[in-house]
Amino acid sequence: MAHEVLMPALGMAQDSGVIVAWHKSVGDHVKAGELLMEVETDKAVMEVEAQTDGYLSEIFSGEGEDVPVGQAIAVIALTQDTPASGRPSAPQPAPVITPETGTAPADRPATASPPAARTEKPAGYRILASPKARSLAAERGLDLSRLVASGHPQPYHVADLDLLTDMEATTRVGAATATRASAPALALQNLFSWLETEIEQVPGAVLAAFAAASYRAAAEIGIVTVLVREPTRSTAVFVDPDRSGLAALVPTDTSSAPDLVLNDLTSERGTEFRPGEGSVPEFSVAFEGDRVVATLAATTVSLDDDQRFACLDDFVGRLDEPLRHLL
Amino acid sequence: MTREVTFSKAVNEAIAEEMRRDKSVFLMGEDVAEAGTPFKVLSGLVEEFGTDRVLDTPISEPGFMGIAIGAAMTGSRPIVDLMFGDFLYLVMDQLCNQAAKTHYMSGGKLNVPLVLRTNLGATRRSGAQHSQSLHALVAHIPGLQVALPSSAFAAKGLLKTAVRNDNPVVIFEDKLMYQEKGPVPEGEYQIPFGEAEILREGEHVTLVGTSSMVQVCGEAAEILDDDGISAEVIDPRTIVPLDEQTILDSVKKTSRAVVVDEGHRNFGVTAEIASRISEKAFYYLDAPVIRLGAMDVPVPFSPALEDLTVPTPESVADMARRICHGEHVHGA
Repeated sequence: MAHEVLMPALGMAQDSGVIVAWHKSVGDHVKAGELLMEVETDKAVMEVEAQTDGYLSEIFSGEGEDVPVGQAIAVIALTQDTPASGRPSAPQPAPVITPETGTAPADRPATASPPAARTEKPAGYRILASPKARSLAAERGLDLSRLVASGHPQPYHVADLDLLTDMEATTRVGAATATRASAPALALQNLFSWLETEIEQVPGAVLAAFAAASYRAAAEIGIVTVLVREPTRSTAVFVDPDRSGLAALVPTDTSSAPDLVLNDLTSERGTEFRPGEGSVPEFSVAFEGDRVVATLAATTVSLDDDQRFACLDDFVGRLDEPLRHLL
Repeated sequence: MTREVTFSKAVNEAIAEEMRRDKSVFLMGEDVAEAGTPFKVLSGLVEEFGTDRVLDTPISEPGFMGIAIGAAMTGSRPIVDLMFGDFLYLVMDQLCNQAAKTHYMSGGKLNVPLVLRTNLGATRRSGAQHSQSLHALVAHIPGLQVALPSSAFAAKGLLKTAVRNDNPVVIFEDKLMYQEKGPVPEGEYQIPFGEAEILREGEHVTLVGTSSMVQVCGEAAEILDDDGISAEVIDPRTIVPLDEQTILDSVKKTSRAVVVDEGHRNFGVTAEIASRISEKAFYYLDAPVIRLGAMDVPVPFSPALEDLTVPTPESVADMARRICHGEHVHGA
């Protein structure tokens, strides 16, 4: 017996929802009423709770995916070893959840959420794949859990390996792993207001300085070139921004490849994070309610797990107390 | 030179040729001489060989089976006709406890070079006690060899090999096939035991069919062709000994297999073949090995119901299509 988790209708005129974050992984035990995931509608980001006790046995739709209302996005099985149901079912009439039941983001725990690897495979979980698909994947060094993370329906056969090969090809240097953490936003928001009114400096420059400093400490490199992307501005490149004075932080004309990418999403309303597909580490920063959320996507070639956690931890520390680190 | 003859005629020719070749070969069973069996397979033999070598017996299967085994142990090569495969239950002790074990228990001093000809197959409106396909029962017993001809050509070639084999051999002929014509060479030929035939080469799925199900698999392959699925069809021809290698080589190439046999599906011939594939070609499989057999019910007398109990080209093609498309066929 398994319970399908459907994309709920959170608003009256809502056709679909974007999954912002999963708070449970495949294989996790869930209790009815426990926070399962966050869904962004055209009005707000809402928290969705599990409707039943069990084990999250399958996730069909990953973070960032826009899913029609009523379509199955996951399965909660009664037992840990209940066979997976196969494919997501066609859209069904969805239960309407009134906006009042959605918990405001402010209610989330105040501490930074513990960094967790996105493609981590929980113990006791087995991917459904044919023996041939499994042995070919092993032979070619392909990781089937990436198909699970992408929401591609199980079981996997040899034909599905083509998709996996394409996925591996896009990321070139192994899989990028994204880590996410957050801190209270107030100090940073105050700093941004001050920058804008007093010295006309853009937030991206300060964030680039923080990212460069955090990365320099973790990766131990000499010169750090940061590419800053901000939706409303053209991209800018800063060389060693952490070593300039605040007023002297100006973009450089350089054709050299960046060591880091920083996505400044602080002016954005939405908070959609995708792991970077490039080969250099990629920071993203955004506000969610009264918190600032940062993600760091990096391949294990550029930063190993420990370095990535350390780097993001340092970075979020700077976002939490920006003035202390600027002075 | 090859001509078209019926399955029935091919069997008749094989017996006549072997009786001419070897004086120790004789034929016995119910209605074999006067009536030429209910299926008219043996018509004309008593005229050529006389009642000394074509013996009508009383209606006592255990009795004449015992006589045949004794004759075989003492130098004759009997061909026993068992009118319906369903009557195997009557001869089980003679066949499985005596014939199958005599060579072993005599330390190799005695042989039982006996051929038991019988039949299988439903959809002949014969009712539950005359429609069974019981070859799995005897294939289970060490010491017995089991042949399942699927054409006139195979019927003649396998029967001639069986007569010259020093072990007890049980041949199951498909009742529905007796009047079907097929190409049979004019001259002498035999088909060795333990050599499967690849009837059709294919890339995407292997269909292993026995006896009556070989044709069904062939027709299923035609249906699959229209869907762009290329099926390889294999007829093992004998299930004891079984040509495992040909089946495994094929499955290693196609990565998928459907095994079809007219015996009941539970604990049947398909289970044996499917499990050997799973054991020995596991890492080549891209889908579960599928078994199709007769429904696990007594064969119904009602024609409408009877037809539902056996695999059809459509049901074989349907399963093959599903595993080729990567459907989640069974629970994980």
